[in-house]
Amino acid sequence: MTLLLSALVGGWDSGWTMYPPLSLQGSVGYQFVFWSVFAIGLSSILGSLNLIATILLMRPKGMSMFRMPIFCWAVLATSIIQLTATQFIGIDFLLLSFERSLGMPIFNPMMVEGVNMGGEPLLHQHLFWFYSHPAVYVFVLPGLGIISELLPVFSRKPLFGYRWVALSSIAIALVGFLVWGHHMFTSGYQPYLRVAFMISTLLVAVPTGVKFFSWLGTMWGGRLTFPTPMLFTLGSISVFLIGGLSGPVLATTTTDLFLHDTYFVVGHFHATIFGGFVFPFFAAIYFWYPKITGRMYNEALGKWHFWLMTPAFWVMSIGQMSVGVMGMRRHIADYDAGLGIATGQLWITLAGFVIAFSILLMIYNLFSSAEVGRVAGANPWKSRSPEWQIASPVPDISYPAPIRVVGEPYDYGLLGSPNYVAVGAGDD
Amino acid sequence: MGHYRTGILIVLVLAVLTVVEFYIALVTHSVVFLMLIAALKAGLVIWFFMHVKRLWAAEGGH
Amino acid sequence: MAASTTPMKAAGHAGAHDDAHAPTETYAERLRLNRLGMWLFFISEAFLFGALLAARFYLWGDTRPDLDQVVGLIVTSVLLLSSASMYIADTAAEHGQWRVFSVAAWITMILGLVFLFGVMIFEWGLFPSIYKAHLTPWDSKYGAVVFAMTGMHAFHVITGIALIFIMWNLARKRRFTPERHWGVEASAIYWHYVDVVWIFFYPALYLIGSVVHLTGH
Repeated sequence: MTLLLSALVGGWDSGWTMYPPLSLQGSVGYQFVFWSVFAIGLSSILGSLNLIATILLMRPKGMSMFRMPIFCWAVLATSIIQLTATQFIGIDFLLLSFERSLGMPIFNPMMVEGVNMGGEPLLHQHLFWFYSHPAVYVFVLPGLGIISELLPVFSRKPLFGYRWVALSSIAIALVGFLVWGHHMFTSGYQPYLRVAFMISTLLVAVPTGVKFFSWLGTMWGGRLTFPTPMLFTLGSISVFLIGGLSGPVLATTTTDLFLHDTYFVVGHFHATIFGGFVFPFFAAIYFWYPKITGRMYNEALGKWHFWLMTPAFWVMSIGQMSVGVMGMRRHIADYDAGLGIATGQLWITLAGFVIAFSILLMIYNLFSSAEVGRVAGANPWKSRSPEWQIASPVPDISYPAPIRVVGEPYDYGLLGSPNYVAVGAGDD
Repeated sequence: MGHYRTGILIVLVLAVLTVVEFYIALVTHSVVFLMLIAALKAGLVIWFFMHVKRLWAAEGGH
Repeated sequence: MAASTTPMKAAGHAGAHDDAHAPTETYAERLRLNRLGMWLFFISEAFLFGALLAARFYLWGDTRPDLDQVVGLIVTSVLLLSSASMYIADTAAEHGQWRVFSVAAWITMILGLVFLFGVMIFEWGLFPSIYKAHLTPWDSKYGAVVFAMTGMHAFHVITGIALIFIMWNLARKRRFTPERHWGVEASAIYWHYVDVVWIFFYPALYLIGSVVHLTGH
């Protein structure tokens, strides 16, 4: 609400990063942005606190940490980031707000007889990116968790290297705290910091690679089926691969100096966020839709959504990267016709409209299927996960008696493996 | 008074450390020394006053 | 140490009068969850104060303003003493000595207020008739950081005092027993946490770095 109000009283014209001094000079709309972010930050801190406590202490009997559905590990890693890093943007925006209203010189320099007695604009960039880089992992980690969650179901095979996947989520979260400086390669801070941030950023590729190999190992030799959620899972792997492979190019200082603030960054960001967040999000919507509504979505429309969106996305993302290399800059609405990127821009625009249309298909699908879709039953995907062992839609009281976890979550296709959960076997 | 002996002892240690801090600051501007003492003081408070160990107490005892 | 000398275990009383909202949860489970939640909150807050410390070292580096050392030592000692009285209050509640608890809680609140007014009068100079402080939030990075750090800390002192007052009032209405006094414990560890923050802020503001004398405004 406060964020929307901001637009009425002048908005904010520094982009989402709020770099001072611009954010200290613009309209009063900034104050609204600062306080709305502060409120959202408070709610996400409290939410993540709830999730961590739940995961650590409220598991049912027999549910050891390494027997949890892998998505819970992703949520745990995400919550660790939200619990801690969010405070940095909170204090950053609070100080910006006070600097605007009281004139506290935290970020704006103030020269007195040739000596700076005021603040440093770069301090904002440090505080801001210490939060905002981990924040993209807040997007991506649950998405990657969903990929790891769905692949075993549709491959009918155990998740390859469960423990490694679980720990890689935590590793990504922790390494994510050490890489904020790679957003600031061109900001003019001490050059030796570039090397440190380059190495730490390239380190992120290691746990991410663990996840990729786990996904390949899970699918390898499995009996794959391809309903819409599986298609989106595979689509997200392909898109995330594009984003992942363009990452090291930007993480390396030498190449980043040329690509900084170009459309190459935009292409990279879209590919990682669509591959790591949007595609898994759609996969999750289609996957859990029968559990939420009790009815199946329209499979044909779902496949149309996928086959329209994925190729269009490849065109858009790779198109953005190529016009970026050719000289298209971020944050501007116009470009020099001499760059020779008009055709590329046209393709990107067309692909964007195709993506938008495919999402309209999905929205129509979700609303109409809730009325007319065929009844799904408790477990249409034959998943082992606890939520599929109870009726769809989920009843008010999930289990008539406490449950006990007796098996492993991903023992698909293994003879003689016990069920994951047993109802009534717990005694407190 | 037996229950409170540990707490009073720790307060005395903390007070001594604070004075030590103050005098170290008179002779050196070292960040490392002062932050090490601060970390030691914080550790004492966290361990003895805040009972961090109780987090691992399975029965929820005191 | 209080933790090991106390014979009582809350688990023995679990189930006797369980909270109506959570019929399947014992008090011991609830207590564990509450404690974890409180400590997660502390971890989160550590990043808030850590960010302020980072800003202090980024902007000041190896310098500091000329703050009144006597004031610094006095407010630090007052806060340390209040931590001691809070420890006594907490331990008294564990043993059901509610008179001791009540007195110690009031001493803690009063010491907290003394700290607060010490900061407001001598560091912030809110009452120039009593004391003329030379720092303002807007004249330099020194004032700005001092006010940001002490302001955020003072805010936590105020909430801490409010929390202790609420717990004192609940104890007056006999809502706590030696087995069940999570509220007292929470306010106590919160108060100690505020002290821990000051343990790091005191050297960062008063001791580290060489003094920069600010010339007139």
